[in-house]
Amino acid sequence: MNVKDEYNFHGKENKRLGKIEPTNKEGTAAWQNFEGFYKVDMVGKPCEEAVIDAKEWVDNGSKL
Amino acid sequence: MAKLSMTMDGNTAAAYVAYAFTEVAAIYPITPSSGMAESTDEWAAGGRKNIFGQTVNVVEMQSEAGASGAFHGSLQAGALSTTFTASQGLLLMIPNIYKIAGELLPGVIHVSARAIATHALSIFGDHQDVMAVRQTGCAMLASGSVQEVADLAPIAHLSAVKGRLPFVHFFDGFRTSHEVQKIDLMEYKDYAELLDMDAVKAFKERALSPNNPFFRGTAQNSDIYFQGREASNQFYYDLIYTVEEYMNSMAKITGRQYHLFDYYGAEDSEYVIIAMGSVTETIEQTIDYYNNRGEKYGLIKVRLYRPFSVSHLLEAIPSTVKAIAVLDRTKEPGAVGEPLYVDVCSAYKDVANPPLIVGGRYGLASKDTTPGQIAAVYENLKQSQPKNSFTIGIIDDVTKTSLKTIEGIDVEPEDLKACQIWGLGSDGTVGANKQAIKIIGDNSDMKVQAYFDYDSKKSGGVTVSHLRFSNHPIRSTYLVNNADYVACHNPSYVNKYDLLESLKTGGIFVLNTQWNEEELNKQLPSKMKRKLAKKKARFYTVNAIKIAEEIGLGNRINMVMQGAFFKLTNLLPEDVYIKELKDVIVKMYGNKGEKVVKMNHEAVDQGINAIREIEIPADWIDLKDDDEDKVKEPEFIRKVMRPMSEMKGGELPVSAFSGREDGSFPSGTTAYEKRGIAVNVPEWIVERCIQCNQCSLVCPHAVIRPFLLNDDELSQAPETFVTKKATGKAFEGLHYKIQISPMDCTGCGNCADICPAKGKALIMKPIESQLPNEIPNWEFAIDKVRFKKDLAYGQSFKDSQFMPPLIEFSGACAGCGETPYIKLVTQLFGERMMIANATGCSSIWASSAPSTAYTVNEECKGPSWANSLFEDNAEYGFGMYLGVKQIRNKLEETMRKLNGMNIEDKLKEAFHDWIHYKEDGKLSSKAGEKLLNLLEDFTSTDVEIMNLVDDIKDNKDYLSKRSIWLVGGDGWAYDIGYGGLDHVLASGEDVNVLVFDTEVYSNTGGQASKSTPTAAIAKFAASGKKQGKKDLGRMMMTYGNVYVAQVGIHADNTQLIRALREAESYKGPSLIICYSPCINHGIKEGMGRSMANIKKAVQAGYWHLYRYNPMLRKEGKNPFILDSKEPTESFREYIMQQVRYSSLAKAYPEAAEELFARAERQAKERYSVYKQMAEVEPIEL
Repeated sequence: MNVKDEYNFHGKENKRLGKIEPTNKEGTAAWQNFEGFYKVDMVGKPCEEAVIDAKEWVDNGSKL
Repeated sequence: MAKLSMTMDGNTAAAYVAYAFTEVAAIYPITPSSGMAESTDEWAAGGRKNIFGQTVNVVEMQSEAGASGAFHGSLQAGALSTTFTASQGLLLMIPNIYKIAGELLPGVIHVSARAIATHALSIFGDHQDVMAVRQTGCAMLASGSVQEVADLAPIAHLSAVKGRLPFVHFFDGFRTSHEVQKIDLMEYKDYAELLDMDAVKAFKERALSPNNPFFRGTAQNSDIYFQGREASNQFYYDLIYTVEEYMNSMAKITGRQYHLFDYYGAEDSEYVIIAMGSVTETIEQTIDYYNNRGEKYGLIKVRLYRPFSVSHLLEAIPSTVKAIAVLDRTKEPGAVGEPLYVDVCSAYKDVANPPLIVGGRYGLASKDTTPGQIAAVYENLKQSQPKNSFTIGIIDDVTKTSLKTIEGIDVEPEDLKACQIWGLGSDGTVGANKQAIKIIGDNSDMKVQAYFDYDSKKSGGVTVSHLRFSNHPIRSTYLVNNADYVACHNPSYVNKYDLLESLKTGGIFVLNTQWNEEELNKQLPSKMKRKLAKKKARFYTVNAIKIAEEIGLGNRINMVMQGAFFKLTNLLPEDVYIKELKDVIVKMYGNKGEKVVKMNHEAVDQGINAIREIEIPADWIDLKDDDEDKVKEPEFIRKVMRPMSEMKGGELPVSAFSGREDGSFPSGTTAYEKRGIAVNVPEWIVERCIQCNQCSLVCPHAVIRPFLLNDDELSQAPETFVTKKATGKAFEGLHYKIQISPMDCTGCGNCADICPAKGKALIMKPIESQLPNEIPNWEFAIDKVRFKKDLAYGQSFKDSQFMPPLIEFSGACAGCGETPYIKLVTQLFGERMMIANATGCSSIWASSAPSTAYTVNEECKGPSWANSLFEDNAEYGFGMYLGVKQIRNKLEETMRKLNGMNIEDKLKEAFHDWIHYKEDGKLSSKAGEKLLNLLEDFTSTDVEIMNLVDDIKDNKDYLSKRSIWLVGGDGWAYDIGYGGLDHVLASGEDVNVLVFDTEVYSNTGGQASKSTPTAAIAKFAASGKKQGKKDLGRMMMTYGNVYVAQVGIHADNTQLIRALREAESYKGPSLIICYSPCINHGIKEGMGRSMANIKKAVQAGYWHLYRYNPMLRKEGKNPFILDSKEPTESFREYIMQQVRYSSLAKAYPEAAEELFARAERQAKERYSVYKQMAEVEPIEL
């Protein structure tokens, strides 16, 4: 099978390209449970509990 | 006998039993079996005693091959030993299983049976692995439910000891290993009473001992090997009766009688299925349904698969049977039939007038097997010519093996309540559902079942919890498909998944959303609204996000949604569930203080009271689907990728994979996802930007990139596409822009965090504020702005960022420390790259089908990517190198031959140039291009010349020197793949190795590797790792001709890019070890500072940067350059900012102090050694 031509999509002809509705928003993820934001750049800072929850998920929750 | 009733999954049940009988457990983690070893380790650490009054000695080995070696050795030394594994791991144990069986040793291997990697890897369950060991001489015992695991696992241990043969006790991976049920267990003293202590004594007396020395494992020749092999036959005959005896003994205690083959169904059945594993539960359900309607169906449940007792099988099958279907959960391509089918056919060979026997395959990789599919198997048996070698559960429109599922049968008990809850990884949904199961199980007589279905993303994947409750035994070993209650905890899912597919008519649907009724009407897809109406759903919303925020719980919605769940499902009286939930909260959060407990209590109360019922407008039932997008996506995307992404891949027929039967998938499909993960994304402040491109360099997902535009391009840009004058001589006259893709961004914030500009040129803002401008801006940038390949780009990391990244939008976690490295490698070498990727996080984030993150450039060139196994990755990549080298050498030979023939001089010169530049990446490409141009219209009357020229043209793909990269994590490089890696690096050949050092087995759940430093807590190092971190780099330097570098992105980007270029251009083996922070580390500053964490690691002397360049030795210089400076920050402060270290201080305060001090000493020693190496004079001989 010559994959070359058929498979090079470049992300074009993409019906999601202009969409604004999220499909997999991670607003409720533990790592985004911010207790505050770093000054100036407003990068989120999670509480330690949230860090532990996020760690707990990758260590024990997600089953991979 | 006291019975213990507990709620647990199959893995825990197996481990519970195994622990009792085990002295030594030698293990290696592999999904889905790791839980067994982890439980065993946890109990051992907690001091639990086995039936011999001792804690189990659990040892994690470097691979399953190592684990089985240690398992074998421990048995030989007289210790009752166990191991736990699955899939490839079991296959690696095969040589040892032969040995253990041949030497009549009573080991037990518990297997959560899993698919084997063939055309693809799958972590999901089937019997391919266990069937691959059936010829080894081990006994094989099959369990079909969590209760059966608890009942049959002891029989494996007891029979192994008495019968002197090893057992493989297996149950279905995930469906049984991870399914939670309420079961009865025996106490350890009951196991002790059953154990034949004389047999144990005899086993120990046969152990290897210098006090009574003898030999085992001699070399034997054709004179006696065969006789010796046959000498053990009687053990197999006897074992059948030993197992039977123990089944009877256990029945007296538990009340549950098992036989080698158990029959279920009509006494005078006509049609029988023979099967083993969890499907037998579903078959029982189906039989009950049909036999109540006059059919005569039956089932044989195979328990003891090896030794296979023909007499017991034939005795169990009613003589009235006309036809038998044997279901195998495996595939044996090229065979007459699958293994169990072949065994059953053989069993009947001497029976007069045997029934018709057909075989079929089902459930590969946990493909759901439903009653409708089982009904189809029985229907097939009734046909005048039943189909043989059939399949169920798929649509095979290619070789037409599939049977059509019979729809619309409802076999579940009437009182059964089924729930399906959609959540997001780490949002607390799964944990809450596990609690719910426990609460309901413990506070009622109801039977409970929980099964959790996730996608492959490590953090942030979709989770679907399938819960069932009934007063009758729950035998539905398939996903909930007729739900009374469906809840969606992540409101963005309405835009992608068919959440209502499983909802029954009149069922409850609960949505966590901030939308009011008007907004719901506007925002919900028409398809969904129509379904809600058609199904007459009772529709509720809970604004859990707002409630959690207001209470002070941040984004923790799980307790709010739990309240709603209990209220609406009405499974327990309100006063009971409120009390139980609140008691659980006290247990879980009590140590975090009264305030936290109160907040969670309030969350429950509000969850109960804040439920809003939504009246479904009458016109929803007639809604047409929303306008189909006019965009015609590529066929693969439309027909394969989209259904798979929407969790409809199960409906794809076999023909969807025609043309890609070898498992090939196209590159670059992640660009089609646009998941909208982030809450906040970076906004670029153009006037502050200093154009350093560091943001782009560190971005784990390639969502923020610099673009250079000419005037013409800029004239076509959207108005909001602001740019500034590009700095740098090479970019004069061009316009510079930092552009982000907000719908691909995860919102980690690393770009903004590391931005060195005064006042910051990147500030995180709510995504909604950025979408209107930045979506069209991104579209413009990638579509209309061409990569300017003819500019004089420099060697700096800054300039490297103008190259298109050829890995984007991977499934890696937000802030992942692995992906930025490989992204940079693709920017430097991507169009020539071949990647051999070890199994692990890096294979999962790169290519969990259908999402393939490596992509192509404008010329359709980009990394080829493949994953073979875990242990063989170095060899696999080396094999790629060997194949390519051979073909390129042939090209050279061909050109040399042509140069000696009658061809024009300019062609000879072109051949000569190519040969000269053959081993240079860029120059070989140029020379190759020139050559091909000349050959395009070349003709000659000399046939031999033309043939040789055609050879070159046919292999033109090989003209450009390939950049071969062997990529993987520390689990591969330091442990399971180390032998192969060592051998490949020792070869002296030109391959490049990139190791993502997360210092732990990230993907399988945080088990310790030899890269885990002292004092870090990891699985199998629960009280802090005692041993030091292996210095892989220094070990490889001892070869003298291996280029070795240790790097840290953002710690020293110049060193990083220098190391990558030096490594790749070095004509020999290269090893680059990259420090990769991981969510597993528990970085207290958050994953938005993972890159800063790398910098701090170097500043604190925790991680060191160096290069060992053999080329320098040739120049008479010291090959070792220590790139990191003297540490300036506190080592202790650095590690205490990570939970993997700080939790040691909480859990084991005394030991922690000593371990921390040891870790710091080891790091300092390492640095001192490096300093010495850097300062030493080059050796002259």
